[in-house]
Amino acid sequence: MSAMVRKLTEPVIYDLGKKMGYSDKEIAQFQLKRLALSFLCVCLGLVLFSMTGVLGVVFFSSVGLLLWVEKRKRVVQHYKAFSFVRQVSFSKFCRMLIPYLLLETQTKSLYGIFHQLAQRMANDPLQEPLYQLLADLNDHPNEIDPFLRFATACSGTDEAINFMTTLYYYQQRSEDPTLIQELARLANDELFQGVQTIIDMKVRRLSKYPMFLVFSLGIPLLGIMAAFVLQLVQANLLVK
Amino acid sequence: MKKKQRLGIDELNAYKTAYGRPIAKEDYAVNVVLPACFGGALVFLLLNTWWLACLVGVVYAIYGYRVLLPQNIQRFYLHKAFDQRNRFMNNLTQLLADPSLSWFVALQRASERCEGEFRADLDQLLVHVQEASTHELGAFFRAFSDKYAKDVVFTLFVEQLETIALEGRTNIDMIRDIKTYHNQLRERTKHFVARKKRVIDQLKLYLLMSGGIVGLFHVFPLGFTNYLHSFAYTPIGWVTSGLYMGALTWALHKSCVHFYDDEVMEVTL
Repeated sequence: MSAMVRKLTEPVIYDLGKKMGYSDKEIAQFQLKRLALSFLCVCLGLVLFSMTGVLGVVFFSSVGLLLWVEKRKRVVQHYKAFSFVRQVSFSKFCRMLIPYLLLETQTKSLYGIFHQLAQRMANDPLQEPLYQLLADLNDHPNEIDPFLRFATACSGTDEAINFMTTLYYYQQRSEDPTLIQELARLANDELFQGVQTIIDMKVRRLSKYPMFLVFSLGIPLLGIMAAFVLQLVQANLLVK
Repeated sequence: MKKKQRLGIDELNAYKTAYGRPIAKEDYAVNVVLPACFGGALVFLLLNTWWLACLVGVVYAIYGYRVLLPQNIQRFYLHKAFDQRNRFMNNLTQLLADPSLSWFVALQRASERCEGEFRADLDQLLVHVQEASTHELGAFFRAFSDKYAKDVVFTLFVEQLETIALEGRTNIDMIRDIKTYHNQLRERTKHFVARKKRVIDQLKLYLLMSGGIVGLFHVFPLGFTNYLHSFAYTPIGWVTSGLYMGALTWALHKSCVHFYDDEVMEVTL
């Protein structure tokens, strides 16, 4: 059933939905609802054909199409927000990882460190991918794939993949202190880039309000203009 | 932004006294009286109706008391507390680098340079760990850092402190690294707040200009008496002024919400 819906509708939505952690069934339901809504619009146009003519059919069909596109847009937007939040926590995770790597007394078990971090990151969007990574590491020890999968799932940027690859080499080659330094540099860059993005975004969000205040002056201005016109009309009527 | 619980004035006072002085007259003046005056004056300027101006003034005053005052005090508290933690981390890292000092003495000395609520917490921790067994030690450190769980970097630091207390000073590099990290974050947050303050200054200027323009409406294009009789006392004036005040209040509220959001590592979309 869901495979059929998948063929019928855009596979892009499936990818995005999957990445956001929805199940196949949920996505299929969402798609079916979306399809039904647009279909309903077209049907409505056909039913009302006798009353509205061709123009009505065109109108309702375009409403249906618009709804279809709108929903897709909303999914993409939602995904963007989701991946941004996740990227931010990925950079936080990288930065938190470094102190643990610096700790030389501990036996160098990345698994243990990941586990500790996963416990620490309660209520964080990264907690679930981290547990997935742990499970993945269990299934494929000494392979690079779990690291790469984690990087793609959490951030997908080149920096993230670079970081996770370096981490993998660090695990493989035990005695190489320069690797940690490299990792620390990467993590720092990544984190402060994220912090900068957040700061810029928040300042931008704030700085649109002063302009809004100026523009909202248009409302009383409109009122005064209306009053002015009304007064002119009244005065002219009185003269006549 | 998460919904905050509403704090009573006593609790707010407790927050403010935790680092420094209690709530003073100027806090009320800036957060309650000023918005009330602004709202009242603008409405009076628009509609020349004194009772309406008083009403809006009261609404703005209530808003200031319930929203602005708590947020202002919370920001003051959070920043002070953050600075204290930062100072503590820097001091302690310096002291721990000296191998002739035991970790306990270093902690004691570092705590002497802190103040306020954080100092009290540190003193309590010192009393607790002085005679604690190795088992209890971890619990005490964790109880201490739990209070500051929102500052992830600081909890990392305390965790390392605990490691030092238990296993000796093997992780000084890590402690230094965490300290640097905290310093960088502090720097960024400061810049962030400064940038937002600049936007707010701009906003204030625009508000002043808006007041000036509304004043100008009195003489142009209608003339003063006509302004009163065909705008201020008519439904047109009430509706448009109401809409304007609504939009203005909404924008100001939104600006306050964004202005007081100082989190640089988290974002809600």
